[in-house]
Amino acid sequence: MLSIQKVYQDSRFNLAILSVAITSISALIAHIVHWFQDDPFALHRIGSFSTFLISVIAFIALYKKPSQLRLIMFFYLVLVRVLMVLSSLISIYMVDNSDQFTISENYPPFTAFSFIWVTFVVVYIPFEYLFWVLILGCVPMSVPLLWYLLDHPQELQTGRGIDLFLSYGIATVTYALLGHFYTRLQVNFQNLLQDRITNYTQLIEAQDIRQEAIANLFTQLHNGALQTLAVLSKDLKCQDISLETIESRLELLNQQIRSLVDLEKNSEVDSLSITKLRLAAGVNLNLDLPLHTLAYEVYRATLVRNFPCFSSLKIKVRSFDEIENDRLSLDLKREIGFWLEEALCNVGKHAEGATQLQVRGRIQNGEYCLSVQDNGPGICSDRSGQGTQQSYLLAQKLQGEFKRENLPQGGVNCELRWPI
Amino acid sequence: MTPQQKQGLNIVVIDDHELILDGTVTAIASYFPNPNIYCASHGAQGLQLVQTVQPDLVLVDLSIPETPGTASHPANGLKLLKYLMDHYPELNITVQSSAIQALVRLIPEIDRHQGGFTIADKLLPVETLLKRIEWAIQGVNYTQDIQSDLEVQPEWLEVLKLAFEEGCQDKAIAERMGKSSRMIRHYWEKIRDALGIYPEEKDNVRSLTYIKAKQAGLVD
Repeated sequence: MLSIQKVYQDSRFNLAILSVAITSISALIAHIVHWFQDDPFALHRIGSFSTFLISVIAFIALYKKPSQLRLIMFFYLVLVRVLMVLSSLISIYMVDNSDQFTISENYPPFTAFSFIWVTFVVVYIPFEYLFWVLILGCVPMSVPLLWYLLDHPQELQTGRGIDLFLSYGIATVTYALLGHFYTRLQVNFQNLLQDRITNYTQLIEAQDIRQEAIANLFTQLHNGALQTLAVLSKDLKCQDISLETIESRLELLNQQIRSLVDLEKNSEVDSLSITKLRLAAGVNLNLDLPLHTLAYEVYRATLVRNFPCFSSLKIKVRSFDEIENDRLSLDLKREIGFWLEEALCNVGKHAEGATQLQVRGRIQNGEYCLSVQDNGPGICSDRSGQGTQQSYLLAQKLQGEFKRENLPQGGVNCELRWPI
Repeated sequence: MTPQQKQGLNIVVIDDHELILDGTVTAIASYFPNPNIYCASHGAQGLQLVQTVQPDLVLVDLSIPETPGTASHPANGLKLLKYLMDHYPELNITVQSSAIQALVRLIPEIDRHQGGFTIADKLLPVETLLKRIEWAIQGVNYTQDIQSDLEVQPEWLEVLKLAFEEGCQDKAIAERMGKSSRMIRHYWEKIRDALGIYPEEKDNVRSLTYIKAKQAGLVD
């Protein structure tokens, strides 16, 4: 959309600068020609020289300030027309008050230029002023001249007389009307184009939202149903799991998957869903909450989930430093929420026999440090799944750092920090 | 038990049920000597009273209307409580509600709150409510009913460590941690609440705290 506008603007500018330059040269030639002619009132010389002067000034102005194209062209066209009207009126007045001069011999030879003027008015004057500019530009030229010609039939009968009569009469009216309709068409076309472009942009945005919803859905699947499935399959391998437990886990799995389906049904490219963080626990959090409250809510909702390693926890140390203006986008806040959810899920799945959990958000040296720490057996293998990759990606987006490490006293510390 | 309170406590009661309000006010008036009781039937009025009276205690019902004529909702009580705790960190508060679990949303704020903070389910006998009010006025915390399991703040662990592993007194703890003595007292109240130690216990509170903290694994 921008590029179309820009091409249009550029060509308007190029046309303006070119035509102003050509006008300057033509006016200069006309001036030289008139200089050697027999000119009874010196009117032609003054007119051509003034046109030359105005055109040169306009050329310089356009060259120096291309952004002021509309204003410069407006003044240029008005001044040029005022000049034409003045010389037209003066010559009619002179001829009317004298016996030796005729209009056919002394009317300034700018008929062609007058038509070019109308063309430029159509191009450079905004549609809403066009009608009045055309009326004010053409009436003072045409009416006195037509009146004079009708008043002096002997002049009308000369070749130049008929030419002037037709040019400033019927031709000018027709030309002005055509110009007016052309501009109107163009305005309609522009509106139509704008509509199409707006529609197109909306379509793209809707697609983006959709795309993001799918990505979110995947994260929720990863933090919810897939975790439950992982726990279940691990327990099944150990073979000490009752049928009832399996049944209840499957029921949970059922609920988790269903909640995703319901969510998908409800979020019809819904602007509200952009401001929500939906956890696998089925909790819908408002992303407008300050980060520390959001983190607490994620913590609260996740710890009540039925993970095997949560049951052995005896002491939970939990604190999130208050941060009122976190300057994070809603998307980033959602991702941080998901990150915390996943970090807690990992403790629930892997920290067998852990008795202590520390979940903290600390402000340290201009950084916010979110950490989840347990005293379980630690990471045995280099688990580097989907979650880890996403954590690194998130750290990158926050221009911060992610790490997961075994602690010397046992357990895992999982940490995300970013500058605030 | 005769409450050893100074004369003329200022108490603000916020509840939109007139019957309950009347009952509570009568009970408070007969329990405490010469209390000045101010009643509010909605959140805005309650807040205004707190601002003007500067009470020794606010008794808040969670399900109240925000402004006169609007519907009662626990969210209004939570909003009012959050505002009160943010702006009056040393205010003594007792919350009574028939759905006291809604308070879990405010646990971080309650943890930070330095004044007395007690809760009471509306189903509890009036004597218990009066006891909880009295505790709150003494600066005691009672939030057992909304705490699922032992959840502590890092600072509380530090206080316990300094007190029981290094034998520091409160003054020394305050110096070591770079906090005021008042803050250390506030931490102790929170620790006792988390461990379930309340003023009715007859034993030495400090040694009882040590025993319970050791049982819970908070100190070695």
